[in-house]
Amino acid sequence: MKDLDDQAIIKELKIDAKGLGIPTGAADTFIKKAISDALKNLQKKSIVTELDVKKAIIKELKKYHADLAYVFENRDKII
Amino acid sequence: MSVFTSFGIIVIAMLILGLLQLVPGIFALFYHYALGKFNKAKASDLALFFILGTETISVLFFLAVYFIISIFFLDNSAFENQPLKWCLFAIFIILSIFCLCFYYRHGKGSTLFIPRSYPEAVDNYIKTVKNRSGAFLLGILSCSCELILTFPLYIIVSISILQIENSGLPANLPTALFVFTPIVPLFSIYFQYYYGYTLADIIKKRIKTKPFIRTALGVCYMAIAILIIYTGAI
Repeated sequence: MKDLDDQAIIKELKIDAKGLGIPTGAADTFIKKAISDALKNLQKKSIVTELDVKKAIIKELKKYHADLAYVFENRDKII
Repeated sequence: MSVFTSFGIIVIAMLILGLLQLVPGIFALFYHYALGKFNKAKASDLALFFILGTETISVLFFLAVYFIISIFFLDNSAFENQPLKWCLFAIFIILSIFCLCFYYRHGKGSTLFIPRSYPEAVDNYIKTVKNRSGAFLLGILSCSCELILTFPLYIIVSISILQIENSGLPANLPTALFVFTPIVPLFSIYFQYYYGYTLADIIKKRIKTKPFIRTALGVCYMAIAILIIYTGAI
């Protein structure tokens, strides 16, 4: 789990949040919270893939901002 | 050969250019990133340079094809060239079937026919774009990747424009309209962002219009193929 580059994910999510017009302060707070909650949920699993991490983050993000979760989920499916 | 047929082919080709999804998809992603990384003024500036890059390369490709076609077809009788006619017919039929069956990949999202390594490469490149030249280059690259679908259009539209000219009518307006068509969808996305739409809305709209785009592209390519054969367009 520690090998996960969560800083890169946070940076990407912050860019997405600003692109969606979410205020920076609020975005910083809930992105960090969503990622830490997602990682906590994944600690129960013995084997964790990148897809598991992505799904867990999306699930947590949906609680705070549905559009940000949607963009994070579908960004690689636009083209 | 009817002038109306030539106009018809140009209008259908314009419709196809307006419906193609690769460049608008890259532009939507790029503008979203630009808005996320820079302030609105700089993002807007970069977006306009992306559009300029797309327009420049479209015009250059079209003019190059038009120049080559005009060399081959200086003599009006060359328009009766049967092998070329059947060759273009076959290309447009293949493109029609390709669009109907393979333009979008199966599954969620609006993923296109291009190899999966390409979107990753584009995504990585978009993240590094910081200035106007980078945006301009991205516009050029993205437009070049769609050549497989646009190049036959440039050929048939060049022939149509030559035929309009040979019949004594001015072809300036259809030419100008044709070369500016590729940037219409980009300006549409640009104004969507300007009026408060987000990437999420644009992705949802792309997914919703998938069946329509696929069918419309297939029908348009098929219509050009039929016009080539049945009305003696060439």
